[in-house]
Parts: sequence; structure tokens; C-alpha cells
Amino acid sequence: MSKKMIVLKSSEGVSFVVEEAVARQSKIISFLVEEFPDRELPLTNMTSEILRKTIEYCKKHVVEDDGGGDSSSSSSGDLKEWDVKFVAEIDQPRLMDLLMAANYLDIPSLLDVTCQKVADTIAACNDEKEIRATFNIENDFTEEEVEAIRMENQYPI
Amino acid sequence: MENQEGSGNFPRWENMDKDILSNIFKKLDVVDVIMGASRVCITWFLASHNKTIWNTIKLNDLDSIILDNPFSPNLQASDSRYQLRKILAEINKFARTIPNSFFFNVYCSVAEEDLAIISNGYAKLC
Repeated sequence: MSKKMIVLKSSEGVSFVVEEAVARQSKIISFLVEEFPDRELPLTNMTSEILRKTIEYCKKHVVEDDGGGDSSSSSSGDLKEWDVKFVAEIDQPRLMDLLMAANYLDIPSLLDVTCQKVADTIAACNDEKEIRATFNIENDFTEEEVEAIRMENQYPI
Repeated sequence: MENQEGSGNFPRWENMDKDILSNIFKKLDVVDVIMGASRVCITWFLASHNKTIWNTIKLNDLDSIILDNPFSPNLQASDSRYQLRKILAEINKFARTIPNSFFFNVYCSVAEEDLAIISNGYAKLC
């Protein structure tokens, strides 16, 4: 029995053919597939690279979800480990793209692991300067505002 | 929209959707939000005031900086980087009247004055 396939198109116009069950990990695609069956779905705000990553994640998770009724705790533990490795391999700018993709496509578990990676990165920084450097963020506080915050909390820094 | 490596020109974390930022900040401990994330830029500062972050406040995870701990003489209050009372006062500012649960470390001695700070205006305390 052949599985139904869905075509997703990246911002560069590259088509990705994926099994429906894989694509349906995204709540948005799930909805679109029902509304517009047999149509190519253009994801104009997603590069091929990010779309490929997202599909890789969805494939892994759909396999695990299908893994029979005996889904033991060890397999869900393996999946967690796989998730950790998956986000660990992603660099900073791509992490944000992936997070935005997870948010846009509405894939809660992918959004959760990407947010967790960002949180872990923030927690690993010693102060706000290090956070800015890590995420390439410009400090847009005025000196007066910084002063006001400092005055309010007089912790030793 | 390409993301070239090392372009150094994607000031995008500061334009991040506030709900997503709050989602991230929820995963941090309170001190990292108060002392770190909220001071990064204005967007992050505003996002760190999102009420969903402050609904439940867990101070029991702060093992390394827990303060005034009678069972750990090495950790004198004067040596600790932060003092509980100041953290509580700071939480008040970020959370205003929203939190409904606080969790403390069992070994953390909380003075009545500390409780007064957090109970000020709060109806329910755990």
C-alpha cells in the first residue's frame, strides 16, 4: 500500500516530497492538507536547509510515534537523547531559524527543544554582556535606563 | 532570505516575538531572568515581565547561591552573591501582583520579613 505524499516547497523553490504522516507533525500542515488536498504547499519563509532540518526532525518523531504499542520508556528516552543531539549540532543563527520554523509550522515538541537550547545557552552565560555577544544582540538601553536598573537593584555584580 | 555564516548582520534576536521569548525565559531560573536576560536589550526586558513567567516561582533550584543556610556554614550570607531578600524584592518588581506559588528549598531559612516582602499584595502563598 503506497503512502500518501505531500509536497513542500522551500523559499528557494526546492520541492520536498514527504509522507503525509511526517508532514502532519505540523499542525498547520495538517490543517492545510485537509483544506487543500493534492496541492503543493509553498513555505516561502523557510530556506531549504531549515526545511530539510525540520523534516528530519518530523521523520524521526513520526517513526518513534508509530513504533508499535509497546513504546517502552527506553525508546522515549532514546528519542530525548536524539533531540538533544539534534539541537546540539545546530549553530546559533540556524537555531533561531529552526525555532521560528517550529513556531510557524506549529510543531510543539520541536519548539520546546529549540527554546530549551536557547535557555541553556543563556544560562551558561555569566552576565548580560556575554549573552549579547553570544546572540549578537545590540544593547539598546540608554545610559539613563541602565543607571535606573542598577539603582533599583544594588547587587554586587 | 539567506543566512550567511559570519555575516554578523542579523540583529534578529532583539526582534523576536515576545511570546517566544517568554517561553524561553520560563525555562530559566529566576536569577538568570532578573540578572541576565532582562538586561540584554529593551525587547528582552519587556519580555521578562510577561506574567506567564512569574506565575510559579521556584527558588528551590538555586542550590549554588542559596543564602542564609544554617546547614551549610560555608555559605555565609555575606559570602553569597545574592541575598534572598533582594531577589524577592526584585521578583516583586518583575512579577508585580501575579505569582501564586513560591517554592523554597527546605534547607533555606526564610525570615518572616522575607515572607512579608512576597506576601505583600499576594493573596495566596504555598
